[in-house]
Amino acid sequence: MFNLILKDILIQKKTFLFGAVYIMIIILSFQQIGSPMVPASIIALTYVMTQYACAYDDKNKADILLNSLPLGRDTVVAARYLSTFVFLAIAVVYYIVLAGIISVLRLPVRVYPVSFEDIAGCLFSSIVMTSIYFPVFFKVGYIKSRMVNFVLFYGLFFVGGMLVPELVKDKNSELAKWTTRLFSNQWDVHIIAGAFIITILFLSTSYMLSLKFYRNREF
Amino acid sequence: MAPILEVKGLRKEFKGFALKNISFTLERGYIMGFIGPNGAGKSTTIKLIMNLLKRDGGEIKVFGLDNIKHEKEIKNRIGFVFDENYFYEELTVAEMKRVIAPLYKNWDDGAFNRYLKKFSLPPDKKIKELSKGMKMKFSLAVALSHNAELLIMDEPTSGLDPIIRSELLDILTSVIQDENKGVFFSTHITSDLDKIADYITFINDGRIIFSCPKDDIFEKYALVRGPKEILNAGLRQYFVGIKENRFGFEGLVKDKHQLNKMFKDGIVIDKPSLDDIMLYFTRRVQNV
Ligand SMILES: Nc1ncnc2c1ncn2[C@@H]1O[C@H](COP(=O)(O)OP(=O)(O)OP(=O)(O)O)[C@@H](O)[C@H]1O
Ligand SMILES: [Mg+2]
Repeated sequence: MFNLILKDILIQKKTFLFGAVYIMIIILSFQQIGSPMVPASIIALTYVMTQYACAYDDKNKADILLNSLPLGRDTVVAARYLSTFVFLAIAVVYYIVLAGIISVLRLPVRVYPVSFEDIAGCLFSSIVMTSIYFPVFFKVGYIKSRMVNFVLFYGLFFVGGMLVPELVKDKNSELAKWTTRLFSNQWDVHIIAGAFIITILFLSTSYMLSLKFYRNREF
Repeated sequence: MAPILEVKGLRKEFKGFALKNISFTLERGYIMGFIGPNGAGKSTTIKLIMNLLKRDGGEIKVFGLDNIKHEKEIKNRIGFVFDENYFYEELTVAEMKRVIAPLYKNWDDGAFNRYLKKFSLPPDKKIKELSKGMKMKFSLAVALSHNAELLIMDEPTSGLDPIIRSELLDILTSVIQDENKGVFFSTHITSDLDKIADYITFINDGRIIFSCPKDDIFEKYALVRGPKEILNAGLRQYFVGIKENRFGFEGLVKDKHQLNKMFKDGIVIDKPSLDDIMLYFTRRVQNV
């Protein structure tokens, strides 16, 4: 399992170089918007790395190699899910380092610190994204899954793009109140536990589906 | 002891092609060559053994174990080489090894390094920068470096120059010195089989034509030449396929002993090559 994650990392050394550039671009383009730059940077980089890992596997027809090695298909699928978390962790570190450098050098660029809520939010959105995407990926392969992936990614931005201004515009709207409650620091233990359980359920259902699809694939 | 590889009544259907009841057996200590024209179903059979394709029926046993139920254990003990490069092109030889090696229970780093040297493979080169032959050699090095008992190879000699090819054949021969091991490989280069194969399995259009010791083939099959006049219906029935021209005929017979008794005079009997055998079988099917 560890080897497959290592492979996902080794294979995209280039993405690691560009990672810094991606985050810089997001930081710069979010100057007016403010603190959402943190989750935006982290999610975008996680997303890009996950996509690249899938794309490289497809390009190298990796399924043939992986399934000829002494590896269960469950391991191949599980490694794909786990690498997303590794990518997320890498993205967080990247953001912290870049933001750190920017503050230390006193560059005329605003950056925001990473909060616990940011990380929880990123974790949640990454899980939602991959939980929807991976079953499709394992069912039909990378090329055919790109459509879904396109819809997912832009859907997220589209919904985000509609909701955020809405929230900012009218602080008293129902949506804003609800979001404030959701993101206020007085999180109810029950809500957190509930969200946690729902996320885990979502993730494990997705994993089971992916595995079921992948077990039926032919290469 | 159970055969190292046993395929029984294997079936697989694609649109426009089907493997029909494939059966053959490879005992430990032998090399089996798998031949047949393009599209005959060699790669399909190999992929079914590796469980890359799902079979529609039949049985595949490796080391006496069902290839799906005991997939992981079996793959630990199999070395595979495919006709194309399936390694990550972006990784270097050393990186690829680093990813693969820990997956095998019996990985032998010393052996791997010896093969790298022997094949002059630079560990720091990316796989995409290797030539076709070098990629094949890398594939071989991996297949040979984890004490595999069974080597399964799909056209391992294609793309190799004659020197490396003969080196590979020597390596396979030395692998087989250990009587617990076995080699199953497909090829279009039948001269390779003349050199090292103990058994030949011939597949054509999804059917096994024969699977037997190489010596039996040459014991039975014969290339027969003769003048046109003696080629009557009685003689024709013994032929797998016949080529005729104005002066005479040449054809392949399945059992030369039968023929010897009846038509001693006027014909010349030769030892066929594996290529001849393939040619006549394939042509017959086309004529039908
Ligand atoms: N995934 C697939 N889907 C549909 N048809 C397939 C598939 N794989 C192979 N075939 C068909 O099965 C037949 C046998 O193909 P296969 O690759 O096994 O031949 P082969 O004996 O390995 O030929 P070659 O000597 O050219 O490598 C071909 O007609 C091919 O088109
Ligand atoms: Mg083939």
